[in-house]
Amino acid sequence: MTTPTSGTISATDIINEFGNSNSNGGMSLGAYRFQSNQTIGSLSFSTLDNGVPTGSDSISYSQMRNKKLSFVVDYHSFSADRDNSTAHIDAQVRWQQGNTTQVGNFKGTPAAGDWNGGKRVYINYNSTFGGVTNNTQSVVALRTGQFWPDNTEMFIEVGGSGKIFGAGGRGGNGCNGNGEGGDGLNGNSALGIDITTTSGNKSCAINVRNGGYIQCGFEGGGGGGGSYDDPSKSQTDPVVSGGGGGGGAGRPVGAGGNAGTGAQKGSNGAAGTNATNTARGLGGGGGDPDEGGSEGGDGGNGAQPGAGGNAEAGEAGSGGNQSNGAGGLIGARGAAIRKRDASCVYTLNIDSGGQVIGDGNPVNTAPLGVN
Amino acid sequence: MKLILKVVEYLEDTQQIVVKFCRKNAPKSIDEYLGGAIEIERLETSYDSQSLIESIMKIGYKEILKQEKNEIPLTDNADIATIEGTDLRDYVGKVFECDSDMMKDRVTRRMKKIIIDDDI
Repeated sequence: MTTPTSGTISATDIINEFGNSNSNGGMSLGAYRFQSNQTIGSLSFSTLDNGVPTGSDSISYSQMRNKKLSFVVDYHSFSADRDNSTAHIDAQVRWQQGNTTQVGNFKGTPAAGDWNGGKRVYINYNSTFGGVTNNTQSVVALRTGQFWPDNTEMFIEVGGSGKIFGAGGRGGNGCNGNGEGGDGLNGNSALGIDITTTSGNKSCAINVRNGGYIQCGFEGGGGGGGSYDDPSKSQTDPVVSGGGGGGGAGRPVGAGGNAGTGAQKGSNGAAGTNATNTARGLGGGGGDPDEGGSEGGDGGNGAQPGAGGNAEAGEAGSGGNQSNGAGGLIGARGAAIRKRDASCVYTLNIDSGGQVIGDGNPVNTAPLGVN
Repeated sequence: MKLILKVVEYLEDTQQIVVKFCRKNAPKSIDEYLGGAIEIERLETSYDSQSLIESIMKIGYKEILKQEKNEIPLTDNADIATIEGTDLRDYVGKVFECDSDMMKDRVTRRMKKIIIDDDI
C-alpha cells in the first residue's frame, strides 16, 4: 500500500499520496473527509479511500495508514470511433496525457514515478465507442494499454451509458456475370486487455453496470453466385449475377456488399443492405433471366446478436445449364473482449441489465491478440 | 400468400429502418423473427404508403421464402408416402407431396410407355 502500514506516518506521506488538502499550504487532515459523494462520470466515491472518515467524524493519522490514491481515466465526457481518430483508444496514453480526475481532487494526474507502491485506476467507459472497419479480428475499439506501472489495481467500469462496439464486417460483393460471389469480411473486436496482470502485482477487473454494453463486431454475409443458361431452342442465353451480402452488425456498421454486375439478357443481383450497430444487413436478391429458369444466388444476411443471428453464405447461382457460380463464404466474428496474451488475465462482472455479447464472456473464451 | 412486415426501428441519424418479415399465417409472431436493416434511400418514399410498403417487401421477400424453407413440418405431415401405381385404394390414409411451383400453370405429363419389339 502506498501510505505506511506501520511505523511513523507523516503529513508528507499523506500529501505525497493524495495531494495537499489545504490549498493555502499547511496540510489539514480534516479536509480529507468527504462532505458528500464525489461523482466522476458514472462513478460515485463516498470516501477518499476505504476507511477514511467522512463528514464530521473524527479523523487521525492512523486512519490514513494503508491508503492509496484512486483516479479515473476519462472515457465518459466524449464519444469516438477509432474509424475517426486513434488518439483516444489507449487508456494508458490518456492517463499519461493527463485525462484523469483524482478522487479527492487534491492533486494532478500522478506520473509513473509517483506510483509510490500502487494506485487504483478506474477506466470509466460511459459513452459510445466504436472500432474501425478492418478485416483483422484482433483490431479493437479501445484498449487498456500495456505499460502500466507495477502495483496497478485496474477497474474497467462500463457505466449505464457505456457502449463499446467492434466494427461490423462488410458483406461480400455480388458476382460478376456467372462468377462466384465475394466472401463476407470479418468483424473486429470491442475491448482489448493488454495490461499484464500475472506479474508486477497488477490486476484488471471489468464491471459492466446496468445498461452497459460491450458487443463484438459481427461478420458480413457472402455474396451470391451467378448463372449462365443456354437453352437450346432459344436465342436468349441469359447471364444473371448474384446479390451482395448483408453487412454485419457493429460500429462502424458493416456495409452491404456491392450489387452483382455483368448480367446479359437478365438482371443483376441487388446490393446487400448496411447493418446498424445491433441489427444485421440483408443480402440482396439474385438476378433473374429474361427467359428460362436460371437464377442468380441471393446474397447471405450479415450477422447480428441473438439466436439465429449467424451470417449466411451467399447462394450459388442455379438453373443454368452452362455454369452456376458458387456463393461467397461468410466472414469471421470479432470478440467482445480480447487479451494481448495469456499474461493479461481479467475478471468480468456483469450486473443485471448489463450485456457483453461475444467471445471474452466468459473470460476463458477471450481470444489472444490485441491490435 | 399474404406477406407482412413490421418496422421495429427507425434510425433517423443513419437514415435506416430495421424491419421484420413473415407470412401472415406464419406459425409464430412476427416479433419472434429476426429483422434486418434497410437504407431508406433504397425505398420508394416519394409516392404513397402502398408503394413504400411494397418497396420494403421487395427487399425482404426472400427472407420469407427462407423462413418457409426452414420451417420444420409436423411429424404427421413429414411422413410422405411413395406409391408406384395409381390404384386409389392404395392411397387412402397416406400423405403425398407436390411442389407448389408445379401447380401454377403446368402439371407433369407422363408419356405412355412404348415397347419396341426387336422381332418385328
